[in-house]
Amino acid sequence: MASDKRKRKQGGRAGLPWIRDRHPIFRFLLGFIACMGLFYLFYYSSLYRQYLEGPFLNAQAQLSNALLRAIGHDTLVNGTSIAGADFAVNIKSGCDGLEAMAILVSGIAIFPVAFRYKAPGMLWGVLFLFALNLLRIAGLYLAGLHFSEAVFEFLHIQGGFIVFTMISVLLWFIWMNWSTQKAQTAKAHE
Amino acid sequence: MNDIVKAGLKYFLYFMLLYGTLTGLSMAPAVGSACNALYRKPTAPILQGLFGKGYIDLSEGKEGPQMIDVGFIGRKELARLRNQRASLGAKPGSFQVRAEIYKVKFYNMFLSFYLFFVALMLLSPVSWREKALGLGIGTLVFYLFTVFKIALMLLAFFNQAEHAIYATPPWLLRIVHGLIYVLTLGVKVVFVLVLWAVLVFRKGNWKRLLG
Repeated sequence: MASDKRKRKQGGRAGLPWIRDRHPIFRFLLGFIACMGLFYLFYYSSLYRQYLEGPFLNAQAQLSNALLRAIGHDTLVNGTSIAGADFAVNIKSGCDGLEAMAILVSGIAIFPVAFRYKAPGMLWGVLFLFALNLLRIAGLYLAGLHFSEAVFEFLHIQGGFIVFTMISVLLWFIWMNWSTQKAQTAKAHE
Repeated sequence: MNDIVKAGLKYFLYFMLLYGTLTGLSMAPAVGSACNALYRKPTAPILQGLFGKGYIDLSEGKEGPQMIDVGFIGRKELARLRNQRASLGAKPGSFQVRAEIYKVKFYNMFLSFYLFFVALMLLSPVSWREKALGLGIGTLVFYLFTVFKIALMLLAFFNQAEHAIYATPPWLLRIVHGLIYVLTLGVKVVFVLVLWAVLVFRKGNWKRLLG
């Protein structure tokens, strides 16, 4: 009887190799989803929407506008819009690059290494994505100025959400690899 | 470190090539129309089943395959029109009605993000059998996720005073509006990433990836 029970137990476990093989990944993903949930709670909160979003988008508009002016475009910023004589872009929620930054920061935060390896990853990663987003906004203005609305919309979605997110994931993998090797080297020296 | 960056950039380059090719193909009108039709075929009966108080018909948008037109008319309105025809002495039988249209951006709703998922799966460090299995499961899950969002949008739309096909309790309608507000393009990207990670990563390849 006891043997039967044991067999059934073992059989039950063997029936779930797919889950067992992914157990640490699931744990990691749950942590990641929880971090992203916290980010979205903040991102959709009235605190962010009422007080922080406007100044943040305005700062991005100002910096992207500075880039455009540096290459000879006579553009002006009005709130969250960058406008020239023939075209204007309005930076809205979702175009701010914050979701891609949150993906990177969540991934780093949840990865099991010492904080001294996490801090530079978060700092440099966020700075890199922030700068890249400024280039993206300026690039979208140029695309809208020189190409059709369809091309602008295409670049907005593909470049804005998908490629930008992919860059964030790429940075995360590079950081994970770097931090794992650093931690292993430090452990070997101890 | 340089090796890691090189490997990462190589992967990114492959991703851009594959994703760019798939996206370029989907932009061809014939391919876009075929994808649009393929998406509409199972979606129409699902939506018709969910929204029994109205007649729903899906067609490719007049703007092209990037849009789906959801034509609808409430059953009550249809009955009223039928009675009106009868009172005017028209013979019973089929007649044409002017349906109202709700527009869905097909590429933003499904195709762009689905191609992102396909590119991620095809470039994943797993066997072709696992890729095929992952693509099958992932396609179904992501498809259902997008149909869920369309259903939420339609439910909110049908509750508007000018349509009044549905009268959902206010508390439930608040949840529906909240979900629509939250399920943005960014959330869709995160959904695809998590789906990909669940389907692809295991103890073995995770460790290999980390060197």
